[in-house]
Amino acid sequence: MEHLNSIQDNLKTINDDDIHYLDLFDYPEFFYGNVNNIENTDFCKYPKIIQEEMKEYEPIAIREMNNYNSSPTGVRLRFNTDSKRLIFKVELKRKWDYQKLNNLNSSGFDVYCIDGTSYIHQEVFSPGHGYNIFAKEITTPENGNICIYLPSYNSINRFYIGIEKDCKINELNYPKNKQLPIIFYGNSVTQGAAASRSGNSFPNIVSRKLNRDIVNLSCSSCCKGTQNTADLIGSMNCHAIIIDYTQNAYDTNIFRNTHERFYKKIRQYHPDIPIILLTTANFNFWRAYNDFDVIVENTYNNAIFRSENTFLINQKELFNEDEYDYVAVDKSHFTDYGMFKIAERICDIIRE
Amino acid sequence: MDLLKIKEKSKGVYHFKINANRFQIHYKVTNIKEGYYPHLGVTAREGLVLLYKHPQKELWASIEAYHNSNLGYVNMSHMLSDNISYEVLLYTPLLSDLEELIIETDDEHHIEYIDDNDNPQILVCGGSTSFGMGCTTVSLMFSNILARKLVANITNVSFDDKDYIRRLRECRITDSHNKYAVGIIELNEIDFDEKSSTYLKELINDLNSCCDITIGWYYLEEATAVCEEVLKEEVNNASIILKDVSHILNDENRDMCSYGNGYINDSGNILIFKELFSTICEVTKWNI
Repeated sequence: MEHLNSIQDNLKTINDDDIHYLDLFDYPEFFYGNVNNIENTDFCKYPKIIQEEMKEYEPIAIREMNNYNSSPTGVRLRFNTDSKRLIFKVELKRKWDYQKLNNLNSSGFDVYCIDGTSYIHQEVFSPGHGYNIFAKEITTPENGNICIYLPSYNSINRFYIGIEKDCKINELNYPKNKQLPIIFYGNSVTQGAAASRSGNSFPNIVSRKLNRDIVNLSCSSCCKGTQNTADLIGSMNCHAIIIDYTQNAYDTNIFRNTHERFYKKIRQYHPDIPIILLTTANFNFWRAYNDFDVIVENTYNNAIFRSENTFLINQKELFNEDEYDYVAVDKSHFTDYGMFKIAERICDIIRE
Repeated sequence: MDLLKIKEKSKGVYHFKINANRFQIHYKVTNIKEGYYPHLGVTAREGLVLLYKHPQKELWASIEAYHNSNLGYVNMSHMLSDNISYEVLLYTPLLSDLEELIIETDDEHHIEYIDDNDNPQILVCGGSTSFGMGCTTVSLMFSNILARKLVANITNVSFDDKDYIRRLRECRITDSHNKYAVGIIELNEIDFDEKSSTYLKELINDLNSCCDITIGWYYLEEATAVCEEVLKEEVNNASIILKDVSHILNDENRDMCSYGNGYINDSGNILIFKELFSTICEVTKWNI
């Protein structure tokens, strides 16, 4: 790892004499899970109309939408290469750590080798607190198949890959029957807080366990279950949808008025695919969230009554109450231990 | 209540009882250690973490994790009614010092410091994992989970240093004349040269002299399995229970528990806690 003042700086500790660099933003085909993949590579999740909607809510929603809409949460850089060495040159937007997130998650590039359907963790790198521009060399796994989970809570301003001269880099698609993505819509937990590294948010774990494409539309504090968001999700062709809309509603009445309406709107667009509803991820006995969970259960029960292809995961019931003090780093944000449990349950339902 | 006046200014945990469902924490962090710590949460480096024991359920749960830029306004009204008495654990940061730590509430409520000295005493010593490196918050260190679940008082003497066995030996843990029900020592990444072997043997002797039971734990990757044999030989004649927790790095758990850079994350700490908890319950026959 070499920290840089400018992305144009010559490298001092990494030898890049025989390396040529590609601007990855010119190669959107290498990125998976990016909503705007066809037009450009800016990683923006939401169109202007949904960004603007946050003005109707509390100030934190506006701030977090500005901070995270362009964060490549759940986006993967996948490719095959015959270059034995790779050098990444990256300029991130933010230099500083977040209160409840490890830097290797918020700003982490989490590297896996893909061997058949298996993902073997190689390493994770990030610039560290106080830095945002860096170069990092990694050794390519023998088969040249790489999947890198991008930062969960930072934006990428510039992104270059250096490969050995005369070597090639090619797309690494998911198998044909796994290309239709699973869509995740949720809050800060679903965005990935507080996994230890970016690859270990539960949507990313699901992508590995099922070897399937995903799209993570989650944005901390901005999960409001709006009709425009339902329209956006409705417009996307997908394999399944995970709705983790709960705690960002802030108020029980608002939640009661919006949860089922949001679900029904999405169901209109996708009458047959599996939709999984999640209850609150709350692990400190916050009383109002019991009411939230009842509302989610009502939406689920009504859907089952209509014979819809809908499932419910009660996140609290995945754990014993005496595990609550280590399931999450605070009242809600899962450790990897929690992330793997919820991911496994989602995979079980989708496999069924 | 000025917690630093009650308990000496040292890294660790403060335990108190309070009957206000709203209170404030005034704290000032100093001497923040500079360095590259992307595998350690900000709150573990320079913040506070608070847990409370739910008075009816008798279970610990999180209140909040604070960064040093916060003044801690604690609002428990979502979980508890006012004037209900409950216990709080406050964990201090790993890579900085506290200059101020005051809990404030209005005159109608009271705060009472809880002295845990009558609880079973456990000594935890080791290297970077025991120190807490890899954790997002201090409350997720295996030693602190153990303390909560065993209702024990933990003394943690650990170093984020590969040469931690030498440094532990130089600490002369027996000099304090403290006695412990259980001693737990991390046995990872030890260089089995002559000096380290001597330090290790002396250290285990020290532990055995001040602890009723000594447990050594280690995780080894497949490539270093030979170390396990060496380790067993080194401690063969000592009275120590060896606990292999290498399953945290097996195919099933590696992705969940490790960063791939030698550090173990929160989940690794949780699995280490589970192993040590069951071993301690088994050998001490404590009724947990």
